[in-house]
Amino acid sequence: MPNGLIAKAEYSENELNKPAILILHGFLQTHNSNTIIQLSSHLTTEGYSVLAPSLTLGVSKRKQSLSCEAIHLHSMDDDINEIDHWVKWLTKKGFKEVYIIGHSYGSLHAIIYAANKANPIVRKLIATSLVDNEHGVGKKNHKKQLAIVKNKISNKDTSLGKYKISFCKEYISPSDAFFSYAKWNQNQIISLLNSIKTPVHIILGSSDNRIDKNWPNRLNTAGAKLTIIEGANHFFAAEYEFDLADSVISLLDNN
Amino acid sequence: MLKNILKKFFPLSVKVYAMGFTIVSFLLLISFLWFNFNKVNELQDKMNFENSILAKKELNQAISKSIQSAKNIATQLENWDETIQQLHNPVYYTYWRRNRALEAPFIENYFIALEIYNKNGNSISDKKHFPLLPSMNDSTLGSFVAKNNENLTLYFSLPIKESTNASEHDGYLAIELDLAMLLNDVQRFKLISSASLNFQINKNGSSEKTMGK
Repeated sequence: MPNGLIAKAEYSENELNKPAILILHGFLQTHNSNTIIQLSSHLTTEGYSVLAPSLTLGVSKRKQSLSCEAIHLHSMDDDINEIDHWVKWLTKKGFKEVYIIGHSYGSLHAIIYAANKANPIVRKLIATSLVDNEHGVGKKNHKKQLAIVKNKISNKDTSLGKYKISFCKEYISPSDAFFSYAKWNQNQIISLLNSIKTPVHIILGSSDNRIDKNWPNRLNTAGAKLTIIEGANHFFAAEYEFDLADSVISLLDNN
Repeated sequence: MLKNILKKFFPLSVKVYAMGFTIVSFLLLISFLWFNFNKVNELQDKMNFENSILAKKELNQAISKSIQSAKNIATQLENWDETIQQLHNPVYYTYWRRNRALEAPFIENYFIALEIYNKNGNSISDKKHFPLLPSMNDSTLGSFVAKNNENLTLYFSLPIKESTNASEHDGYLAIELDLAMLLNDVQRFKLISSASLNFQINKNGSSEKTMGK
């Protein structure tokens, strides 16, 4: 990886004339999470070459999900650089097109990557269970937390802080590393979606309790292409695994 | 002459017969008790000898189990992603070893502390937390017992390998455990009072012999 660490990934090669699929896992997870394994398996059966890496999150050869209470020194920039590295790796393999599918926080990673790196080989983004950083924390608390963090950054305070983010009630991190993730609120994600040229399609489950109730509406009014899978939760568990696979495959095949 | 003397005593009175019988019975009883006393002592010595062999066996078993438990914890710590994280980026190592390491899911109540060393065997912290293990190399790996403020502690160390099939190590890990708690955790003693256990400690801090009641 660009940071000198070694990252683990699952790669299955199929037809080189088809676009390669890069699948990004959720917050602090690995490529071995159920949603990623199931999706990879469905796409491989469809003849796609699938690469599912685990972001290192500052841990060489990371094999486990990182606990919220661990020390988080990794930043969004580190993650984006790693995603860029994997896209370039696929380019070297000879693929002419890469589609990125994100799950949960991985969807946010994919959108930020597309907005910042704009690699022309990336032709399509599918953001499943796209999250924002306000849910679980609350808009007011999120704002408050960001103000404290900004203050620490301006004071060059590098001490560790205890924050709330995503499903984590105690996320231990220095302020700058935490800020790199926490700053992405609903408004910023929507403005990113409007600015990127790569086509983005969002898939959400109607029973996803890890997103705000108004989040699908906000995405819809902002003009995002949105598919709602009725009854599915954040992980598209049980029978919804097949609904997700069907939706993703139809979006991938549809040019 | 003898006849005359015997005639003087005979016929013997009942009193003399009774006295003779009492003396003989008493002598027989003493001999019987003496014999049994010796037999009991002999048996007790034999039992003590056998018990001390069994006690040594019990202690050896408890120590082997303790070392195995130490090895299990050390191996799980070595495989823990957060240990690898600290090896590569020890900026907040002091906080991590004081807080986070103690919260690892596989840590037991007899775990006291750990220290991580880099590839060259130097502690990744400026402060050497284990004075008995200021640095590590392949010859210092293994286990030993030391006394810390009258408490017995077991040290166990192993090399850190980022992947199981790696031929070279990436660093070292040492752990410190409360030996008394560990012994009681791994073994229910029948012959040994674990509180009385003591170890003869060498000048360099390592254990030489075990003693106990």
